[in-house]
Amino acid sequence: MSETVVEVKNLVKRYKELIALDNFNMKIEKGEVFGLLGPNGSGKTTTINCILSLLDFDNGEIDVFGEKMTSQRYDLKKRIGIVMQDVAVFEELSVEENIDYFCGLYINDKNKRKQYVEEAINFVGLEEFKKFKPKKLSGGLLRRLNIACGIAHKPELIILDEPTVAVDPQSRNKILEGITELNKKGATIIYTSHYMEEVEQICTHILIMDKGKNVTEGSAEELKRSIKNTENIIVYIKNLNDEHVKAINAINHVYDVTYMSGRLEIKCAGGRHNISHVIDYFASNNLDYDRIYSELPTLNDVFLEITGKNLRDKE
Amino acid sequence: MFFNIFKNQLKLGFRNKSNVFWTLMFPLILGTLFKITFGNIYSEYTSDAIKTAVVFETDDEDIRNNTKAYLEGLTMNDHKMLDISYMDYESAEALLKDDEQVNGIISVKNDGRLSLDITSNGVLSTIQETITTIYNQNVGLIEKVAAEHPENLPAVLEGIQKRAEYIDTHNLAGDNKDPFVSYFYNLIAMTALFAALTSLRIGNNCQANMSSLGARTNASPLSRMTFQAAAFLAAYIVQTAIIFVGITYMLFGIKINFGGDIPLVYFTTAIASLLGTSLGFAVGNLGSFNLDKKESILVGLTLTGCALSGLMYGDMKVIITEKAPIINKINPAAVISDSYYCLNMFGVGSRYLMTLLYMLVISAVLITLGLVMGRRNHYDSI
Ligand SMILES: Nc1ncnc2c1ncn2[C@@H]1O[C@H](COP(=O)(O)OP(=O)(O)OP(=O)(O)O)[C@@H](O)[C@H]1O
Ligand SMILES: [Mg+2]
Repeated sequence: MSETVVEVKNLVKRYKELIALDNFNMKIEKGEVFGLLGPNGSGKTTTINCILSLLDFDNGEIDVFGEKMTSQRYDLKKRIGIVMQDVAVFEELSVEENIDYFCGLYINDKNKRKQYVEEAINFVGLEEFKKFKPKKLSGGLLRRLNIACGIAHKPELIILDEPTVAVDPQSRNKILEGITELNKKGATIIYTSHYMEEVEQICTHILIMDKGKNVTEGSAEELKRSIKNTENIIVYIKNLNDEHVKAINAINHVYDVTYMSGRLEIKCAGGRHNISHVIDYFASNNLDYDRIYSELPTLNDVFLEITGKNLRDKE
Repeated sequence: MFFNIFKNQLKLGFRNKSNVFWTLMFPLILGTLFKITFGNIYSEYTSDAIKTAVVFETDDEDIRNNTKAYLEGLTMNDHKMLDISYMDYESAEALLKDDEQVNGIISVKNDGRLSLDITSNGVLSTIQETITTIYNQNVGLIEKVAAEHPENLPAVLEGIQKRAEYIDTHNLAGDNKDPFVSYFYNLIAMTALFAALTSLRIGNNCQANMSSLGARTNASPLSRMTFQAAAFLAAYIVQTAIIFVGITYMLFGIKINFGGDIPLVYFTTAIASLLGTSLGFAVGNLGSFNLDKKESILVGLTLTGCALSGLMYGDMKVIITEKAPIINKINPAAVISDSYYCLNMFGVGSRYLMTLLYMLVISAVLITLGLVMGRRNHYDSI
């Protein structure tokens, strides 16, 4: 039987007039990499802060490791590792000293701590920067330090709040691999992000939220299977008129077509040879295109189909 | 866990170079300037009085007599400060231009004020400048009171007289010939309060709604009490070390005579540092605004406190004693400088012990305030 690590029930949180969390529910089982995915301002950080009992909330219940969480439950806090969205390190302490400081909030044994700090440094790949002060680290390295400070004490539950924001792809991959590794070693992970690719890459269970409410949840596969969209065909083509767009929309299995600045996006539900039908249409109408390809739906399509908007503003 | 926090907070305190630097430099620079202006350098380099020409530009007998009495009555280290010759402005100007003949011209104006002409910016000129400024400030004060609250005039005059007596007794005590030593008491008070920039951070570093570090710390299994106690102790040690450097420089570097027992001067300083640490702790826990704002509040409080206890304008303390004596009892800067004064003047006696008690009581009040304000550990908004 699986063991519940965190359970959030009917959580309501208001900031004055604004309702940040609106009867939000979430249940995380031991061993999961739980992805909390939502656009900016959807309430991810607020949820995390409530779980950590930093924030008072207006209604609902939060259990951690099967017990009611309060700000005084140091025994529960001891088992949690937290990597906050805002980097929280001391400017005056070196990389090594920062990790030692935060690890020291959990681990008293000096020798054990020394070993843990060493391991954390290796884990995030900051060996060369041990003696550096945070000011001298690049954005990506600073994020890695932030992570090392949160996980050095080997917690059972690790909460990471957008740990890859403003991080270059190389550091990002290193971080994602690391998280998977921590999970393999037995830690349960809560990972928040508004990057669907990341969440899809590492999370075993994904909860999508918007405006403080649950949108949907499941594994990436389940989520994608749950929507009618099965394929997206993208064509780079010039000089299409409204007639053409209408005609394409009428092709079997096609249910939505958008054409903007030379990019045609065709959404299909079901069907097996959709792309050849589209190509046939272009051929029979003597239309020349630059490029055509087909994609499986993404989590963005899941989000789009349910909420009618994109996860992220198009970049 | 206590020791881990304590150790790291010590590091944080000592490594915050700008805090340490500014806390120390400001008083050290001011101290050195005061010393140059008033101190031994005067007697070392000029055993003679400063040659000064005095020009009366008024016929008012009262003004002439008052200024004459003031200027001729000024003494330092048992000899007159000014060697005065009375003459008309043209002759004075000629002597001033002809180097070494006089060091400055003091003109007595119709409104009773003094004006000063000097050619150089040396030590001697600075002394002359101070003399005229202090005089004009007194005249200004009397005029203002006479115009706005004539009923208070006797009290103010008495106050000024008392200050003169205070300087006199000070000299008579024999232990200390420097009438300006109270400036240095004030400077040390100022250092003690500025040092509170270190303890100011405690609040921000443990309150989730004040900084991301605060939020991070709150998410860890660390009790608020443990953190505050460890951080307070560390801040106290850092601040005391800083002030000890300051007072050591004054005692042995520029050789200010604090009188009394040197170990007791350090002991007093350690208590003053507790008061400073407590002030920073209280301000740091004040509310959920950022560190910069809190620093401004602390600096503002310190400067106001020092101004009221006479750092910028020596007579201020006398005025406060006359008008609102309670302020001298609760103003940390005044309480600290008073403690040095009492130690110097009366030795270890009830008055000195009383000032120590005041410092401890104010510290206790400030710590309690800080604890009460910093008690919460969950928040409506962070
Ligand atoms: N301290 C606060 N006071 C008032 N409103 C707040 C506060 N913190 C957050 N909010 C609001 O609550 C909502 C949820 O914010 P939250 O930070 O939880 O979102 P998020 O999902 O973490 O967003 P992001 O991806 O940008 O980090 C937002 O509308 C935000 O503006
Ligand atoms: Mg967030």
